[in-house]
Amino acid sequence: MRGLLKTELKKAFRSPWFASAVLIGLACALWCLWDAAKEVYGENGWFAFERYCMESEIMMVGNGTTLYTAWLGMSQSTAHTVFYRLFPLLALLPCGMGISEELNGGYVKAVVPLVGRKKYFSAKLLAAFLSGGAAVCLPLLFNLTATAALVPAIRLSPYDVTTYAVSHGDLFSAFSYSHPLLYALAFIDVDFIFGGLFACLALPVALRSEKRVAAVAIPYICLLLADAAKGFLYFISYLEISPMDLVSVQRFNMAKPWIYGVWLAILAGVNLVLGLWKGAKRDIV
Amino acid sequence: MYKVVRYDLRYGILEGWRKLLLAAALGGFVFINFYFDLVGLSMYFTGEPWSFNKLDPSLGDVIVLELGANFGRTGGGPTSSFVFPTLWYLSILLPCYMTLTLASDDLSAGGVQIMSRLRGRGRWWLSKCALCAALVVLYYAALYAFLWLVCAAFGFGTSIVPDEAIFNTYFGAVFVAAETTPAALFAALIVQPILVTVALSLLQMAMTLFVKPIYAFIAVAAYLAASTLGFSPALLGTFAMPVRSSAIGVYNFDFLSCLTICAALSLIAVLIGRWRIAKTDIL
Amino acid sequence: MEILLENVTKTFGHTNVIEDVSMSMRSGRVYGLQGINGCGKTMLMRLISGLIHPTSGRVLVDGKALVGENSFPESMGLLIENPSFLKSCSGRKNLEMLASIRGRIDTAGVQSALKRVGLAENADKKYGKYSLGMRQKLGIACAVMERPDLILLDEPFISLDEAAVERTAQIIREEKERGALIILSCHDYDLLTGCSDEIYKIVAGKLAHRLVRDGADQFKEAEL
Repeated sequence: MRGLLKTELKKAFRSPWFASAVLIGLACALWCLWDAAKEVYGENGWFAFERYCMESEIMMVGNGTTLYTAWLGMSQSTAHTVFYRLFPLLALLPCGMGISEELNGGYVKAVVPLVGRKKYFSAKLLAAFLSGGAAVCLPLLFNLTATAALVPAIRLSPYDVTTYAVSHGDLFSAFSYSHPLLYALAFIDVDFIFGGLFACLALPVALRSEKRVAAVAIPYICLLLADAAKGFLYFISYLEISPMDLVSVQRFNMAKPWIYGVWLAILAGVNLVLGLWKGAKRDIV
Repeated sequence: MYKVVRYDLRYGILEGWRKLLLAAALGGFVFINFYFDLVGLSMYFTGEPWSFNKLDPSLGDVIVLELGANFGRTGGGPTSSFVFPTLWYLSILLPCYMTLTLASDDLSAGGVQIMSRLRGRGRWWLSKCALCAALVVLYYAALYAFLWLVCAAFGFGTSIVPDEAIFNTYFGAVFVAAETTPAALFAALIVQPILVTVALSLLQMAMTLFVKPIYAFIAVAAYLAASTLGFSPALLGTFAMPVRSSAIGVYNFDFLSCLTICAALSLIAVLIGRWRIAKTDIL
Repeated sequence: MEILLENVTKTFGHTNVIEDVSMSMRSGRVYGLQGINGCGKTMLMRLISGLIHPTSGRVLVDGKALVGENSFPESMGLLIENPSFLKSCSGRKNLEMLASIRGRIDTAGVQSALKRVGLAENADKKYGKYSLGMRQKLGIACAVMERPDLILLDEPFISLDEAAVERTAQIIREEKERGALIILSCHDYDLLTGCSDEIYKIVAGKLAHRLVRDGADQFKEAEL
């Protein structure tokens, strides 16, 4: 099993799909970095405003752009929107295409007789989880680090509460203002876990469809449908129930910890039942 | 040339009839979403959640509220933060997915046999473009037809004129549709999204001749996502958002500009694809 | 029909998969291509069919180069590598759809082609359910059904049983007698010599030998 897992991990992390996913994420990260830099150093940026206030002897209100709201996870830029909309696709890309190719191309016929079905599909899921999680977290980590190099790490002020709402009761809200860097890193961990679980959704689809693109696109469309369904509960409560919004560090609605737990259970259940268990029962033709 | 277009349209659509069921499925989902939105609106207007009959919703309200997209970021503060228009996004991404591998699948399957019989790669490509556009149009026809039917079945109005009170409450924006002609309204609500989706699908299909289909899909998804926050005519998605059209809201994304830009981009996609397929080695 | 290859070279990256090949072929003859795996037989067929463009040199079919809108020979049937059809349609339906493009044959013609290759009984089964041998037979039927002037068959005998091999060899003989120009590649030297009038041996993308059948049914080395 160790040898199989090592092979699967090598295949996942060395594949051109993983590199592409990371590059696309990095493009969003650089875009966000550029926007953050403009906010601070640009003609109409914070430093220019500071200079103007000092020269005009006007009292400044607010603390200016801070690392904790300028990085990709918290930013209100278009880069943030694009990144988090593409989040599931970036997670699915490393292993999704490969899983489909192997299942439908005959590679599985060569490997399964050597290791057994269960071990093969378990290794596949684990490799998908780790590579999918890494594909979405590497750009976030890069952006956080690079933004820290350019934007001051000013502690969030009461004014920021009105703009970058982290509601009381949200996951990790207890330390979101007192320890904002820890909050950012904790959310990157959440993104790793959810990214990994999104990536594993490729297996159930690949077991049913011969098209490689379907293994990536269909889970994405299903997640979009789940996102669109969040409005169904608005007449009861404004809770954040969309998995695509749960991974974003800032959201429109309140995201309580138990909602994360429910989605973890759902995604893990779907992957284990429809992916691992069904895969292990499937005839290999 | 006519024979191969007929071949592609006939067999492509017959083969892809299941894809059109996706349109009906999406229509059902859209209507369910609208139904839940009506509950909230009914609470707001009447104080009771299920008093729909006092609201007089119509097909136009379904299209504008659920597929109308949004006005972008409406300012700071948690209650006016940006809400991504997922249903609008999905309604365009689905036909893009449906048409994504039309060319690339054919090239790796029986397309070689077709091309050799046609003695022309360009003719094959034009036929694929015709099929792509036809599938998109049929998708929207199926979607709107389904919505029309469910509106009629539920006793809602089947007019495409949205209700001003519902619009003002939902979007908190100026309502211009009451002063718009029916033709302009039809163009904004129905035709513009179709034009934009056809153009995007053709561009996507042309991209699949250069890069792997999944990258073309990701590029289209990113481009559409960027459109939700951008207001430039360079972001084609803005023309597919009914609430941003000059017929419904205050932004000036009018039909004529949409038609011109979409026609130009579609032509560019067809020409680029034709150039590319003539140069490509088919292995 | 006459096919001329004039100093044709095809390069992928830094590798010449076909190098400076010149050949002349005419109707009513069967030309065999022989060589080890990866020597360039399939690439040569792709060049002749117009599926790929030569890096240098020309491929002339009846005096016209395969360029622009005339990038394929006028009347051609081909089976190159694995045949590929629509999995959700039957074998018959697949052939009928392709035949409808040019309209040169009708459903009776399709039926006749299916019968020729021995696929008539399974014609209405979905292509996705076909075995490898049945797929190969369907590919051969597709290549010959419209009675084209040029027929390219790349390894037509793989996956076929003995009876099907004999049937395919018979089809090749009949098409040759009809006047078609047939280009055939095969690893089985006995089969190749049994079907061909001329055999070109390809080594590393270049023509190494040319063997021509003489009056006594023997193959003799000839000038390239």
